[in-house]
Amino acid sequence: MLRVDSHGYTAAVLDKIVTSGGNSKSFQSAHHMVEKQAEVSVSAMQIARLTHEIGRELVQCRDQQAELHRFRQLPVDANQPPVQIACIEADGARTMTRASHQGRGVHDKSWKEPKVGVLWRMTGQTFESDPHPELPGCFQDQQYVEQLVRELKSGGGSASPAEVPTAADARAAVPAEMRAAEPAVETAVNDTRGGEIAAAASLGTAAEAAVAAPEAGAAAARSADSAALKPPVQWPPRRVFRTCVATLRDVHGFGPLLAAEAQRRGFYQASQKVFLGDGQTANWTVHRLYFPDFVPVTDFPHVVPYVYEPARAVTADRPSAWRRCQEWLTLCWQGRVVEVMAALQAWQAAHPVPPGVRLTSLPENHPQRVVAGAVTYLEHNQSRMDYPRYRCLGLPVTSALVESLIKQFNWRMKGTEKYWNRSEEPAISPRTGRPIRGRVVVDPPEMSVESMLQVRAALLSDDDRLSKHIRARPGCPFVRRSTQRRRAA
Amino acid sequence: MDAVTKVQRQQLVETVMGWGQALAERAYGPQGPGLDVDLAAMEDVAVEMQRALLKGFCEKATRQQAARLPAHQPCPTCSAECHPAPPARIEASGPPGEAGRPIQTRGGPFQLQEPQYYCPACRRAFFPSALGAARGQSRLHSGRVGQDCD
Repeated sequence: MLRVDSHGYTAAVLDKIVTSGGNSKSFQSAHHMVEKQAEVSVSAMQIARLTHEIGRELVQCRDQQAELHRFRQLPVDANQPPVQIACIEADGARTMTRASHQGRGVHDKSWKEPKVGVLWRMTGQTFESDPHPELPGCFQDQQYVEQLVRELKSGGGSASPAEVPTAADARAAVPAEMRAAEPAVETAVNDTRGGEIAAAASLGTAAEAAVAAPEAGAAAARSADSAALKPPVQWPPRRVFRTCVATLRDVHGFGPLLAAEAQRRGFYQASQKVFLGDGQTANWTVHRLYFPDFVPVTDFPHVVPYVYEPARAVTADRPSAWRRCQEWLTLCWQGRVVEVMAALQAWQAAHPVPPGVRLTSLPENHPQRVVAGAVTYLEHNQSRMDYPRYRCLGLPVTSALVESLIKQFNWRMKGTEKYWNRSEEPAISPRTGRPIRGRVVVDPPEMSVESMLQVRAALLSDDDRLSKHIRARPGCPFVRRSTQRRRAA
Repeated sequence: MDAVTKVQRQQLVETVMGWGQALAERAYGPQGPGLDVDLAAMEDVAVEMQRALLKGFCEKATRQQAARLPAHQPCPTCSAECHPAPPARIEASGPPGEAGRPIQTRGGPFQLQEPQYYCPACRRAFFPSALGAARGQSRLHSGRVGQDCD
């Protein structure tokens, strides 16, 4: 049968419209794109309506899948190939929202953090010994490290909300050297030379770092020399296939969605399983509840500020501080976090907080407060910082892939004067009057953030799920009366 | 014919290519286009013909498909057997039991003349040609998203 709905577009045209709505910076620009590329005249508002309609359907499908998984009724998709390395990374994006059903204009605006998870099927090899014990060249580049620290720390700083960069923004600032440890984001999925390119990038950056940063020059040159003598080891796993999940719900709503997607793709049956995140507690809550048998790994670049800042705080001059930072970063890279913590704790013992003074009352950049913060972070994460073991297992050690994915989400979702309707509010318990964890009241307005996130997630997944969904829609046997009246007129 | 096979499709493509050559001759004469006609102008004419081809093809195919529908159709809401809608029930002009509406395709719009049935119990008309799903199924896709994905 024809499977046409009340809108009067074929599935292929609808696919073009929604793809354009999800991939353009605005619906207005999507309107121009559709008119130019597809030669279909459709208004910006109509593109918005159609995009959100499809988004709402995708939300419904996603929730059905999660519900099936909740009752252990979701089978592994029979068409899924066996997974060698199942890599799940989770992080948060940023988007500006407003209250829905409030009429025109912006009401009750607030920043929200959609949770984004990416599921990568990877391939790789294991090693008997650490394939890359040296600190990567980028972390030997003082300029790079300082910029990384500045950007990661400014994420929670005092910048105005519109200027607050996410960790993703920070990560993308200088990603070149990250490719030494991670497959290049820009590398084609099937590019078998990913490892070689990564290794070449590593050598190139190390040599450039020697020129750019005189302090790190000797170390970088040594690293480049030693790497030039040995054939490059392709230890980072190679990315094969990705799908992603995004929601504005809290971790208790996000976890089941991620778990259902992992189940469908057969990630729980993978030979090796890894879950990466930054130090945020929410990520590890998802890991603990839904992926307990996945190897948890703390993203290495997020550790850098917690080493760099205390090194600066406890050392008098800058060159010595940089040398100490290098020493501690190397220890962390080599999995000897305990030694860094011991050094920091020894400093704390030698410089106790004066009696009667509370740590929190000290300025944020006070050495004792900086060191205490670093010790706490390292204590919480040390069990997830055994990087040599992860490299031996052929697992990734950074969450760069989800960070770059978040940039792709933010590109569409975030912008000047761009607000999305909050589609779901936490369900309030009638007994306690408090929000119920993981439960939401679905309120499907137009332009909702949840539906837009689904369209974006579908477009950023490798499985072409948006087109498949649109082509599988059953159609609508009824035509709106307004359409009939307009046609008759 | 239920579905066009790959071989049939290839044969159809060759036929249409022959039509294209014949149309070029008809458009520009046996000598072909003058030296002042650029490629963009030729493309414009060809695209216009392509759109006309698609319009004719879809209108004919959908009309023929509609003619194969049985005389009675179950109502999508109450599943009662329904007859084609009487002309009085159809607001748009067209043959009895049919209503037309424009459908936008990749190659431009065409007029879909679809059979319209009327359920007296629900007091509502419906279009069985859109029924891709089983009775009672919502218009939303209920299958899992992303299957056959990797």
